Amino acid sequence: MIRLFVLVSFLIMSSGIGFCSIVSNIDKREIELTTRFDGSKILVFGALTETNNDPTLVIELVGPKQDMTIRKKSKVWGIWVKKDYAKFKKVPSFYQINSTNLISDKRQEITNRKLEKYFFSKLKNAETTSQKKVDKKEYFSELIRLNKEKNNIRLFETKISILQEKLFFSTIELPQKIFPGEYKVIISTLDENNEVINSSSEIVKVSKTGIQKFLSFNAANNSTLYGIFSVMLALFLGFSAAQIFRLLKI
Amino acid sequence: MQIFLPIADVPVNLIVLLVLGVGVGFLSGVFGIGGGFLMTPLLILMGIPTAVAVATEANQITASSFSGVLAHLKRRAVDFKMGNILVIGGLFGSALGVEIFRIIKSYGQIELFVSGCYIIFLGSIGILMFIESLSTIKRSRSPQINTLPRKKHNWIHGLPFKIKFKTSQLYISAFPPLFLGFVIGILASIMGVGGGFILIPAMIYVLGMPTKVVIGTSLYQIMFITAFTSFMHATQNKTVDLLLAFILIIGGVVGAQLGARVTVRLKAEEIRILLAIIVLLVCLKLALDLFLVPNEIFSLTYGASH
Repeated sequence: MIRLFVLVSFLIMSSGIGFCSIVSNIDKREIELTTRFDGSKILVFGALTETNNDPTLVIELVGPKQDMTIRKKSKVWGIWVKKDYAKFKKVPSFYQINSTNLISDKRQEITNRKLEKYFFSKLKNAETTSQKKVDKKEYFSELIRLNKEKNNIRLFETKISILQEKLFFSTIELPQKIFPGEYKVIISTLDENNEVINSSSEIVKVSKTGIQKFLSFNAANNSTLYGIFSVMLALFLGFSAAQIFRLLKI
Repeated sequence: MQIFLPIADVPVNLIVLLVLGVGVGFLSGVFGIGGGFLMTPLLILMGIPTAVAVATEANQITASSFSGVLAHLKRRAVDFKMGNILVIGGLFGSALGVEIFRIIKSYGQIELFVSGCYIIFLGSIGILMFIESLSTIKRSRSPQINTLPRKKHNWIHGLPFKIKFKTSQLYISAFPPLFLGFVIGILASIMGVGGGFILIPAMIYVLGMPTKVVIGTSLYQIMFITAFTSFMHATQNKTVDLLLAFILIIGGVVGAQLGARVTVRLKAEEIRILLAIIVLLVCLKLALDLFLVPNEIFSLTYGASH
């Protein structure tokens, strides 16, 4: 915490004078996905200079894009079968937004705007089995709901703390299952009409490391070698097991 | 302790996985079955994607059958000629099975297909095992020898392209073992099983092989077929999770050795009923998922292809 405040005060001093500009930083720029990865936290902190009219501060985290498929089960001959689907292209695999403002009307408006920008706009290019507008909307709302359930969409779950009307900090929690890639932290201030006054952004790189990287990379790119290696490993382990237990029996 | 599986792309509990591996390995040690037909559905019920469960389990069976073959080689209980013919049939079956698997996967219906196969197989095996052990227990109470005789001659032995199998003391056509191998190859690649539960009875009652070489020869074929199957799945579907396979192999080996030692102390037929019940319960769970109204009508998967 002490380090944080030293950093923040340094940031304020170095930033000079601006029109409600944002100075911000994050505590990590790289996250390694290991076999034991159990989620992570990113601390976003900074300061607002020259604040006037008490602007709303919003911090977003947008994950790398992923294709997503929503499938709907229906009863066919007495069996529940995944029949209809909607395939969405390039949807953020993770999205979180936090704000200083707690007024629910305003929140709702921001939420609608952001969901429109990041998710609803993808509906146009989505490949669906049904072309009806009602069905498409249903798939869209399921996309949001299921991602929320997986903690991949988190809307206004924690409030951003503001100290002395200037300093702010907020933590972003990443769940255990996240996709590797670039995560963008966007810090912006909004006016009364929710228009962006100022914004700054930071990049967090999330990458697989160690055995995770080795196995997933080779399974995808050197599948022949990977296949041979997996068979060799199985034979080696089977052979070792037979030898070890034969020795133990004596 | 949670670990993240690189290919399955899901977090799992390492302890649960090891216990599962030891447990199924133990059962296979006691009953001399491969355990694939229990392990694959259990992995699926644990939340591991069906395609990964099938391909990875094939890899585990390669390991367990290889250590089994080594033990039988010492006793000279492997009919290589018969084994090789079964393997040739099996390679074709496996290649076909992996292709079928890939096509169904591209339609997003692989869970349904594999579940369906398992419901049929587990259902029939469970019921057969249950009935057989019940009647064995009854018979042991009122002793009366009544075992199915090994047929020396049936229509199978009349087919052309006859080959001499010295170890098995047989002179039969190459077609029945080729076909049998073919069927086992398809089963291995679609269900992630060794197929011993079909292969062994078929070798005894259809081909007429002597019981003493049946287990060794079946393990010999299963080893080659599952090795080929997991290689094919790795290249065609990219679904072999080596970390998962490693954990399952370790657990399975320990369990199988424990199981093989404990056997003597337990009344085989009574545990057999227990196994039948486990098999039927797994079958029931899979069937309920298909027939009952699901809690969740919608599902979300990442990536557009599956």
